[in-house]
Amino acid sequence: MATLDILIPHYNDIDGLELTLRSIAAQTWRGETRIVIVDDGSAPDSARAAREIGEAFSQPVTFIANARNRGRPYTRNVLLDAIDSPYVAWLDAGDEWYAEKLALQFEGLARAEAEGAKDPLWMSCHYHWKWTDNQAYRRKLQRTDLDQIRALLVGTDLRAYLWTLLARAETFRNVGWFDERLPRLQDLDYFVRFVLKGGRITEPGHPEALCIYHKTDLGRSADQIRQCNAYIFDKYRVLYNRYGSKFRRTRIYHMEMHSARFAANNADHRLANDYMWKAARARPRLFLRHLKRKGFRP
Amino acid sequence: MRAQEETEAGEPQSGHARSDVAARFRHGKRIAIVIRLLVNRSGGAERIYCELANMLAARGYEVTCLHYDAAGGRPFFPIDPRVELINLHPDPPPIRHRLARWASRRFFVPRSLRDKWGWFAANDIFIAQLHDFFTLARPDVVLTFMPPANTPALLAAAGTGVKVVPTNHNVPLEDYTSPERWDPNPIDRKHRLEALDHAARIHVIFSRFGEWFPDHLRSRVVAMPNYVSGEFLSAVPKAVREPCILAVGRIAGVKNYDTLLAAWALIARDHPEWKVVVYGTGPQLKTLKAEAKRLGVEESFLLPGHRGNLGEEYARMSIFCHPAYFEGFGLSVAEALALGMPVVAFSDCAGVNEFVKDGYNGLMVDRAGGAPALAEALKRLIEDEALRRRLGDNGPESVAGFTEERYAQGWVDLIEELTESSTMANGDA
Repeated sequence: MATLDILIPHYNDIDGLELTLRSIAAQTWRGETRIVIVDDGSAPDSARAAREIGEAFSQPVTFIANARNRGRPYTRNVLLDAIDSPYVAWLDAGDEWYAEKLALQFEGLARAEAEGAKDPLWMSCHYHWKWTDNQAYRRKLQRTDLDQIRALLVGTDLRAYLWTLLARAETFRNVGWFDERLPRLQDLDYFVRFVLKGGRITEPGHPEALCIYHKTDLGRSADQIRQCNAYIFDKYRVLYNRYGSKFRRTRIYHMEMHSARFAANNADHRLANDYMWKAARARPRLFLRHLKRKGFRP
Repeated sequence: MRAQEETEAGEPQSGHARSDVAARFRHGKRIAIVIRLLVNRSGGAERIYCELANMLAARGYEVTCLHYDAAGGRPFFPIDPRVELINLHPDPPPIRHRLARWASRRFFVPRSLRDKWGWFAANDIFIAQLHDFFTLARPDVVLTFMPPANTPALLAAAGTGVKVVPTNHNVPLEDYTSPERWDPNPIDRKHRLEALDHAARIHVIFSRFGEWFPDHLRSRVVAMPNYVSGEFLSAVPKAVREPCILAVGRIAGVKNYDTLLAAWALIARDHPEWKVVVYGTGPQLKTLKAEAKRLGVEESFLLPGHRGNLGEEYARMSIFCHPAYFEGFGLSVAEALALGMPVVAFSDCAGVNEFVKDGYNGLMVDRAGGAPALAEALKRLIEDEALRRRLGDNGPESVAGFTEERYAQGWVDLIEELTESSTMANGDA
């Protein structure tokens, strides 16, 4: 049995898969690794190429194919089901780890456990956020010293990105299935459930980013994002309620602005304006401040 | 490359599962368990609350524990990492609730308004939060613990179709009518009983407790006694026991330890090698110590406070005395019996007289006889070692049915019954 399973969902992104596997090969951590790739019903050429890339890779790869495209949460559940090693890390095809990520995270986990950490732990890390149409890298810090539920619901100081994580396999199994009603934002739901189950997110104490998120809004449906946000908002309504009505309205404002951004980046300006109008109704003052700063750009 | 496989199309959410994750959440049924206060509370009900959540999680249910603590923090007892824990209390509470709480404590406000605002401040948000949870998360069954959570949960569930089972851990007459138990606000007492109309089932500890409920509720009553935790059963009873009378419980009026003290004062001088040890803390601790001193028995009537690891004490001491007025389930009594101690108690003590039988596993005393009658029963056991041994030997068998497994299975059966009927109803529709 390997020490670490690296779980990768793939859908029609051969270049991204190659980039991702290169970053795994470059890791300085030298423990035994098993890579699991689940192809989520890609086009035949893409699925074949993904399989060949797996076969040619220098480390053991388990390749699983969904018979048809089932979406990200279903694919993650197939990956969750395939776990066989005592440790697990997630990485989406198209995203990258820096060479020291696993080594620093394993050190961090060992340190936390040696210090007597009793709660289930997820080792996250700081990361770079890079828009695919832009050369600039922005370092994003994962702040784990806050009220983690609140921080996850706000989503600026602590973001729910699965590919930042390394943890014991048991901690993922105990959270249970990814919610298949969430084609988007299933990570956020999964992180919130982990913390509600007594889990604690931590980071290795390394000040630099340890991975890169190649970010794009292109081709993503603003309405789908809005529906998923609304679903999360209902599912965790009692948590939003806990922090008061202003917090709740502010989250609604950001939910609408988030959808507006997706609509605008996909050139659907009418839809973007609809969402911005809804945002303005939720928090008029916040919206005016936004107008002063950025004008009508969401 | 090691393996290659293909998943089936068109499977349900857990259809792709063949591993450990599927086994962990095999039912997919969601159970919410509600209690009002949980953080850092180490009482018997809180222990059962946490253990029930763990038992249901271990049996494949998705369990969410809901509580309403103004203070942050974790439960005193361990919770399984598969169980979600949500504190519903707002942080901070809205100003209207703080105002209502402030006004409800002012002497110049008419009594009726004080009651109304006090109840509003204590329950309004709790009910609203539970209502949101019930309507949006749609748990299959909700179990609620004790009246401070039973009433808000039942009111929140009214009209939602969510099935709520309030659990009662004491004698219903006391819980539902006594102004000294739970919230003394008369509005609360009124809602406490009326809200039961919305219950899917009503849990009591012993079936006899169900007889107290009005006719239209009685058919919904289910009896499920508590259990003796496995940790006590690991202690090994000593062949030669120490000359000690043991009592365990909260040092409060309802436990009636002052009668035990008065009884001991009557016989202590005749039995200088014997001692009484009362483990526990509570509001009467100081006065009881002072009274023991006044009666000149402070050397032999010991009140050492709280103690963990009680199994060892049950295993080494000779007689267990429980003079309480009433109990829901005399847990410490059952634990003592499980470890072979003969019990002395009053015969009218509900929740104890269900399983302590005079002359079989203990001596039951007529309360009208007071301290002298209690002293007489203790003296009889002190002076008759063969009787102690005979009664003690029957103890384990008398509580053999109070097991964790049976308790958990009782809840599983009830949950399955409730969810089966809802599945059938949905199917019919």
